[in-house]
Amino acid sequence: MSITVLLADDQRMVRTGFRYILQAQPDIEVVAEAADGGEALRLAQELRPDVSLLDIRMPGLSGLEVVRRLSGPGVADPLRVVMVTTFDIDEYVDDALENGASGFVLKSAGPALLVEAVRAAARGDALVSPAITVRLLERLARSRGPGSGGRRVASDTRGLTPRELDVVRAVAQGLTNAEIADRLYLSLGTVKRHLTNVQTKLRARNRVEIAAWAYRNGIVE
Amino acid sequence: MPGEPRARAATGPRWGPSVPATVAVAGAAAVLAAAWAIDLVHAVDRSALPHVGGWWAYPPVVSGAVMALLTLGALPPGASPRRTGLLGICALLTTSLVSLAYHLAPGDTPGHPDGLAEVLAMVGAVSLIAYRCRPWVVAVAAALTLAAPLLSETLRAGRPADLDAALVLLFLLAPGLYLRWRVERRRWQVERVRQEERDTLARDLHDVVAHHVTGIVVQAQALRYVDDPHLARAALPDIERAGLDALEAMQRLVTALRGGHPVSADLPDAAEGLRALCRPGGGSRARVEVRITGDPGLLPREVASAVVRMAQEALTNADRHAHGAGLITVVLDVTAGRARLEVRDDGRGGPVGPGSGGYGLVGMAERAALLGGSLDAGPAPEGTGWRVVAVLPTGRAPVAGRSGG
Repeated sequence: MSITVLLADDQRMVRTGFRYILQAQPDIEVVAEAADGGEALRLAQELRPDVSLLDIRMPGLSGLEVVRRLSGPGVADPLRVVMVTTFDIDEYVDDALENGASGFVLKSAGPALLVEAVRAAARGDALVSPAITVRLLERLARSRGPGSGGRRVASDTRGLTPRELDVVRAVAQGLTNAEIADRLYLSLGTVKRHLTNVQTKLRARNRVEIAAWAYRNGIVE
Repeated sequence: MPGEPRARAATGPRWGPSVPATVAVAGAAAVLAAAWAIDLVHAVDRSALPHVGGWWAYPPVVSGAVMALLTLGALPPGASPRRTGLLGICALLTTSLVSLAYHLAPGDTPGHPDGLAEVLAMVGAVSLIAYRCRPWVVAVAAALTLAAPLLSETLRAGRPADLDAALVLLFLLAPGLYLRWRVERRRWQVERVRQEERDTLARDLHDVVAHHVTGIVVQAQALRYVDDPHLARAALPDIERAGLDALEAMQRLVTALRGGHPVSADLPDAAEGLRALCRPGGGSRARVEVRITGDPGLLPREVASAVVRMAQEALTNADRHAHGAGLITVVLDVTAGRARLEVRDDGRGGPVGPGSGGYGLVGMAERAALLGGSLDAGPAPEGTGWRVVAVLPTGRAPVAGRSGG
């Protein structure tokens, strides 16, 4: 069964470009395209695609508003949403994360990273475009950090066990479940169990929220 | 480097500050010199009077000269606050020292007769300090200014002097402080305008240049990836147009950065600008629907910009005045030679005439007239609500550099 994808971007050139790339994959199917936020919301709710690629800036409803309604706090059956940005300095990272976005991908990232981002979001076992997501999270943590240089001590680990913290650290560095299992000498099943516990304890909806929590609380530097 | 006239032209007038500065200093010097000459003549006259005591007529002449020179030293526009403060305070101290000298003089000597040059130099010194120096220096200058007449009166007469003269002198701070306020305010305004300009540039870079370049990059990546010559050929016109649009936007930015006309942050694309006005209804706000017929991409930039601005203005008016409106429709119809924009609501907009809600209408009408078009606003001919219709000619030359259509 292929991964169904919704593309939402107000720029036709970007939409068709993404569609060419994604349609060339045997396991991905673009089921809808939207040119503005309202249309994106309607189509996503109607078709419930596995992954929605949303431009952050769109006329009408912005991408942030759409992601809030698709996967934000309190949404019963959240969809997986990847935010698409022009630069990796967009100031909306924080909002997007709080509203349940699974990750970020640059419009200019190229076919390989785009396809990988869609697959990672669909599987949920790796950060979406780890390089850009990690960079964004680091910057976010720095901009909120108390002063510069001083590394924060994790004050509240929310009852995570040392092993769970190891897993969190690995997630924040962009490792996949398989890679975490490899690094920590655990079985894949154990990694998944740890992650489920972590998600419950942190009340995190997805992997990127675990990573964001880790950066904010100085679990990783 | 020789032969760079363009860069030079963009930097504005080369008329440096040295000319007005020279004029100012020379003028002040002339006035002070004239005042000092008058002081000298008076002193000579006074020295002949029996009760003045010969040489005791001359100290104000000496201090007048010293103070005039000190003040002139502090006067040039380039003088630092430090120099201004130091020379100005010295000038103010000089007159107090002369008062003290009179106090210590033999018993029958009269008090300190103020010289005209002394007073003028004092005015200059105090103004310059109030204009340029830190608050504590200004406070010291104010205290010395207040002290000078009190000191000379008190020491001369042996009784507390009237406050009048002191207060008058203290008022001398006012012009300097006023100028200072003006300068600060201007600096603040300039800074604000610059910040706005920078924001505009950043927005233009992000929204226009990056937008188009991203489209080109994504298409190129995708077309290389799928490797289909037919798709590639079909994509070329879009890529070309995006490239041209990006170039045009960059040209505007370069012009703005060189100090030419400020850039307009307006997106040149009327369709995009209008679509951005769409919104769902909710709360006290009416739903907004946008319909576009024809190809707004053909509109000249200024018409496209005017269309978007007018639609925004009309929406603002409708929000403000159309009571009970549930739906506002924005319709743009582009046909050969003209663009027609209609914004109407279904509310009770009756009482709103050009008198009360007309501020925006005036602007819209002006904009339309400038572009050779017309604007009509009034109750909708059929049904309820208010209607604004703008018709703008698009007959001027199509946007340069656009091939095809």
